[in-house]
Formats: sequence, structure tokens, C-alpha cells
Amino acid sequence: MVSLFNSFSRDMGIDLGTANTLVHVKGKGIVLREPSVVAIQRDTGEILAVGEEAKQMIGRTPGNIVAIRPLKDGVIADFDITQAMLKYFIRKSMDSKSFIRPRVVVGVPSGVTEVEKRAVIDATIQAGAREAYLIEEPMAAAIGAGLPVHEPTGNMVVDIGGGTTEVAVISLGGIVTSRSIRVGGDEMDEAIIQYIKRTYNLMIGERTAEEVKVSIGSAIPPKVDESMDVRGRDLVTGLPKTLTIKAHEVQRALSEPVAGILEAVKITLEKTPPELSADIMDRGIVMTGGGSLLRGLDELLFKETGMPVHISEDALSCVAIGTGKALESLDLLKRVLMSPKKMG
Amino acid sequence: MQTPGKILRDEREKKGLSIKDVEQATSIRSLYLTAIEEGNYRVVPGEVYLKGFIRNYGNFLGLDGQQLVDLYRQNQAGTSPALASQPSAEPKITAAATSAPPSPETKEPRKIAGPSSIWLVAVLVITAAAGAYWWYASSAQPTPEQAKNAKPAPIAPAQPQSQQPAPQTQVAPPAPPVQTKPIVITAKFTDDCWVLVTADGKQIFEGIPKAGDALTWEAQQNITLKLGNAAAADIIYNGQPQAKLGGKGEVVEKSYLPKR
Repeated sequence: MVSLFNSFSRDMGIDLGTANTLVHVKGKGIVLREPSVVAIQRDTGEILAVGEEAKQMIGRTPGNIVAIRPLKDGVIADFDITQAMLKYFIRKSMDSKSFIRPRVVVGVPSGVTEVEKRAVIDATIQAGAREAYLIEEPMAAAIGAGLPVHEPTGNMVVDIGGGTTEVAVISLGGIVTSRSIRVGGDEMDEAIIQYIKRTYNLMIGERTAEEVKVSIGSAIPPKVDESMDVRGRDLVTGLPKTLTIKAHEVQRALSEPVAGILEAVKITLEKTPPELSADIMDRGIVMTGGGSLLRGLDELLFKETGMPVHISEDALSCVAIGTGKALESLDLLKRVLMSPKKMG
Repeated sequence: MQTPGKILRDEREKKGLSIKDVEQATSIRSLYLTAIEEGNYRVVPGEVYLKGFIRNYGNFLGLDGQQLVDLYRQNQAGTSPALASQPSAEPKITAAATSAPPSPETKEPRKIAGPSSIWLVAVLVITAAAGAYWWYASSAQPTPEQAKNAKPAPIAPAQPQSQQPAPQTQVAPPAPPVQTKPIVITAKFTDDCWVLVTADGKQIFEGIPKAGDALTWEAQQNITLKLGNAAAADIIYNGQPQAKLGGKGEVVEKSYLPKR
């Protein structure tokens, strides 16, 4: 009877990210990719919109509506809203006909506390999952990137997400050493905002900063100094203003978060047993996550560590694909997952 | 066939670089570099790294690394399926190998899943059919007494679903059958004739009865006969013989309503 249940339920893997949530459904691939944003009515607490629709509302809401990102630094900051968001995403990615609740694997940062883990499991179960499992994000990213994680050789994966950067050395299906820092794409956006504010007294929004990062951001001094127009509010006059910003300025602004990521990689390498170090030296470092698409980051990492650096294909969906793959061979990968029973 | 390895070697030789030079510049071991140039992909551990090496090597030589990776993928797709699928299947194979005990357990549910889902579908279909019959019977016979009498009635609504006219074409006795429905049509055929019968908006019979056959149909609201050879059928409507509907070879359509 259990197998009968399993054959009908739509098992799903969820990459519950700070910036975006991705849902991978068994046999279908990634079915949902939406920003982790919820818009709620402040007085009644009613949920107005979730996902893409809610993101449009950020910064444009009247007083009685707030658009919230319920996850911060990769963990749940607002339990009820996260649960509501998960419920919406699970419902949306499930066949409405399916009456059997799905088994869900959720990716969490490797550095989370027991309380944070428990929060994710509870939120997932209450959002309509039959069973909830957790998988460490670097492990999911490594599986998603297609690394041979079960072999007795070292693999190093650097997953740069919206809220956290995860660096881990994986061998024999387990994490040997890891480091999770709360620096990611959001931190880079914030660095750009701060830089422009300090240098030009111009206040720009998060979305503008992200646009700057994606179009002209770079981790190393750019070969061609591109420029881009940004619009914001002048802090001195209080009026809207347009400013042209150069790529090398953005590079300077980004140097701090990028240095943080480099340091995390180096510290992880320092803690790695020598045998695995040799393996990593041989094969190189694999980067996943949206942050790895920052121009020149691979080159910088290569120069600093002297190892080949690979950016995985489809870097944005690696974690979600990994959670999905973990589900497909759930029984095999049970030891990769963090069991909820252990945590009781 | 153009392989990424060949392109890379040509480009490297054109630039006058040795494998050692490339190794120093890219930190990729010369072992892997030569393996890629020779197309000996098995030496490189894992497809992800292989692609990464091809891309990095290409970028270092000033080529489009991504294009080389695409070329590699095309070549892999073109070669024997066993070789092409080998890298992608690798993680699973190794996973099974490293943990031998759980593998039989994982296979079992998959085997069961096939037949069990078929059974569940079958159960669902039966339930749906029963539900449909119950709904039909209860809507057609509003009073409970009539519903009891109407036990033979399910034959009529069952017909459109099964689409098999043969079992239902019972040879009716000359006497009118037990009146369960307001319209009962009996047709005796004196010649071959194509017939289409629609009862209460549902097609219940289509076929070519032979000479000498006698068929009976019942319906609640109306019944429509379409005959391909009107002269061949003698119609008895609720026990009363009707006039011939038309001449030989004439196509005729005729509706009957309850007599009240």
C-alpha cells in the first residue's frame, strides 16, 4: 500500500532560497521558479499575492500592504508567512487532481541550527507535505551539478545563492568540511547601493542594484570599462537623478563581498584533509548558484587558489535539480538527507 | 568528425604552446589535457569536470569554450548510446555499488508500482461506472418503486459506454416485453438494413441486422431510428405495429415520443 501511495504522489524537491524558490517535481523537472516574496494585508494578515506577483509589489505598496521576504540568510525569518508561501508553491506545482500529499525534500544551508531545521520541517509538513526531508544545500548543489558525490574522492562545491554562500568538500556521499557564510547575491546588491550612496549621495533601489550587478558587475578589473545609467533619488536635493556608473567602480564596490567568498573557500581548503586536497587540486572547484555567474569570479578564484574552476551548467537550478535527484533515489540517498527522526 | 580535442590541439600547436605551458597556465593536469586532446574521455573523473576542463582549456586558447562543450555534447550524442549514456548514468551506478544492501529494496517498489497503479485505475473506473449508473438510474426513475421495477433498465444506459451492440441485441419475443419504459420499439427486419438508434440523446445501437432479426430498444424521453433501407423494417411501437417508413433503399429518420 505504501508503494502504491508513492507511485501516485507527486514527490517534490524544493530549493527554498532567500531570493527565489524553485520546485522540482519527480518526472517533470523544474516546474516552478518564483521569487520568495509574499504580499500581505497588514491589518487583517490576509495574504494577497505570492511569488512573481508579490515581487512586483515590493517598494510600491500603500501603507496597509507589505511585501515580505520571509527568508533571511537562507533560513526562515517569519514562520507563518513561509508556511503560507510553501503551501501556495506546493499547491501550484502539484496536479490539482492529485489527492495524495507529496513527499518533499527541502534544501537548507549547511550552517543552520537545530531550531532552524525544525522550523523548515514543520513549515513544510503544515504546508501540506506527507513527509519532509532536509538536504544540505551544498550536497544538493553537488548532486544537481552532476558531481560523482558517492565516490571516495574529494569534490569541492561553491554554491553562491541569494542569501548565503556555501562552500563544501564532499566525498562518499557526505560533507567532509564546509563553511556557510551569510554573503550572497543580496549582499552584493547591498554593497552596490552603499557604494553609490557614499560616493554620489544617490539612493538607488534593490532592483536597480541587482540590474547593475547583472549587467556590468565583475569580480576582477574589467577589460572593457562598460558604463550604465542608473536612476535614483539624490540625497542632497531629494530629487530623482540619473547617474552613469562605470564597471570598474562596480568591481570596487563588489570587492568586499567577493573577498568574503574567497576567504570562505580558502578556510574550507585549509580544513580539508590532505588526501582530499589533492583530489580537489586535480579536478578543481565547481561553482553553482546565481552568484557564480558574476563575471570574472571563476578567474579570480582560479588565480587565488591555483585550481581549475568550473561553473556548472544551469547554475541557477543546481540545488533544485539536486533535491529532485535526491528524491528519485530517496532510499539510496537517505543517508545524505538529514533525517527528521534524528532531530526529535 | 571534428572533435573538441582536435580543435584544441590544432589551436595549441598553432600558438606554439606545449602541454606543459597549458598545464601551468590553467592548472589542469597534463594527464587530463592529453586525454581530452586524444578524445580519451574516460580518464577524466566525472562529466562535469570534463566539460569544465574543455571549457577552461578552450577559453585559455582564446576559443569559445561553451561552443567546444556543445560540440563535445553533440559528439557524445552521436556516438554509441552506451558510451554516451555512460557518464550520466555513472552517479547511479556508483551509488548502487557503494551501498549494495539497500538496492534490492529500492527495486521492489518500482516493480510493484506498475501493476498496482493499473489496479488502482481499474478500481477507479469501476467506481466511476457504478457512480454513473446510480446517477442515471436515480435521475431516470424518480420514485423508488419504479426504480425497483427498472432493474433490467441498466442494459440501456450501459450500451453507449461499452459500444458493443452485439450482446444487447436480444431477439425479442413477438409479445411486447414488460413495460419498463415509456417507449419500446421493436423492429423486425425482412431484409438487411443499416440501423442507427438514438435513445434519450445517446447512441445505443448501430449495425446491420440480417433478414429475420428482431430487435427491441427502450427509452425514457425519445427514441430516434435511422434506417438505411426503410422498407426492410417492420416497426412495433409500444405493442402497436406501424406503417412502413419508406420504400426500398430509402434512408429514413423517425423519432418516437412517449405516448401519453
